[in-house]
Amino acid sequence: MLGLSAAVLGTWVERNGPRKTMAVSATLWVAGFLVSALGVSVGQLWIVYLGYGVLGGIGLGLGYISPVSTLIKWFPDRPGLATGLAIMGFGGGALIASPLSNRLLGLYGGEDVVAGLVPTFLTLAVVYAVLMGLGAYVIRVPADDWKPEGWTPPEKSDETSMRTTADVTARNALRTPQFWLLWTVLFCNVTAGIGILAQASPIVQNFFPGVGAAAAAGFVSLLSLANMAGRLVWSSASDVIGRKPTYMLYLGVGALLYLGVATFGRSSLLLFVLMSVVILSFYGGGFATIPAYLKDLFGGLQVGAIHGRLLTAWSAAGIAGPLIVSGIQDLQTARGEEGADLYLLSLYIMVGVLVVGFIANLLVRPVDERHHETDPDQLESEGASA
Amino acid sequence: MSESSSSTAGRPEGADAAERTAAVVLWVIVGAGLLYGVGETIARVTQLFG
Repeated sequence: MLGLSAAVLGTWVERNGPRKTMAVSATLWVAGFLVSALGVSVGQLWIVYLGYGVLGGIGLGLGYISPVSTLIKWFPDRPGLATGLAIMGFGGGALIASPLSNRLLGLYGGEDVVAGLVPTFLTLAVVYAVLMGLGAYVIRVPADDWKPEGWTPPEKSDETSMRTTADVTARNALRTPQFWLLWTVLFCNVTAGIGILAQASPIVQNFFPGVGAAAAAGFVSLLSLANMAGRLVWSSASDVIGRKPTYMLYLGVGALLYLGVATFGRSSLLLFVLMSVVILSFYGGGFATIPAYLKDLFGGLQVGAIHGRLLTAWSAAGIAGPLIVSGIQDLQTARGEEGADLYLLSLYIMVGVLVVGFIANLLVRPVDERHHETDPDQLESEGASA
Repeated sequence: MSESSSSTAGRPEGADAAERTAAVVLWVIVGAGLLYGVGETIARVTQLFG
């Protein structure tokens, strides 16, 4: 729902601005929690799906894309930093929500987790209403003439860094090969990362049988931290080294690291953890750098809407990644494999997936001028009609 | 960065002050939450290598 709502409602977000979008996002997200609490209290699972899955998912999608284009406007000189800040919040939220939810469940339910569900949903609904309400209240779009002190906007496009001064509408962006190449890049990066992240706890326990459940939870937490930090660090770095080389790093070095985990990951827990941390930092960095890459290629006019449509790659990867890993795990279990051998084939497949993404990134070139918007009146009507 | 020639220029000063206060409150809560999350993570990570 997250990716789909971001794709479908991206142009609505551009038209209505971040404050209204955040208010709607907060309303849907909080409503999702309230409806879920109702579903649990009456014992109807479909109501929980409707609340947390559908309503919450749409709210999440809107909330995810709403700060991106606003922050890019505040930091036109450093779009990578801007998108890193915006997307890092998403990773940081997971870092807080997971331990907080566990603590609330224990507080309200004690040993009986189910008994703690309804009050936990209700408490989180109140917390999110306050925080997201404050966020919607304080956000501001800069004035049209705003620019950072001492910074002069470039007058013409830079072919080397592929940073354009032109604008492409969301509708036209879909007609360019660049959009679909970046879709492939994001899909591959997320498929590889999410496949491992979703199975991180059993993977570390199978690679190292001495690692217990509590220690494996520590490993998962560390990956979440790396995921969050990678969003800010790598995306900011992309302002200096360029977007295309940054994705070559994510996908190329990422593939080598996956290969390293598969071939000699079992030799040392520390080495295994270090490689996994870097891989997950690349995974987070991939999310955060993509809006800046889109801004470089398509301009800032409808970058939020274009970003929203690109997030369908995340939805697809969210299905493909865990399916690959768990499907192969089942297959290997049926063959009588155990321990780390359950995951080796998945890791090699992820290397291949990352290589495909690497090639897609290599093929990215500046957008052809025929897709650029030149008529301001047409731009207005695109924004209104979209 | 310099101050914005804000799109909200011309708004009453009280509104700006309220927004700034809300922003500070938000950052305090989020900052505290992040510290809590990082602290919990570090506590768990020590179990991994403990």
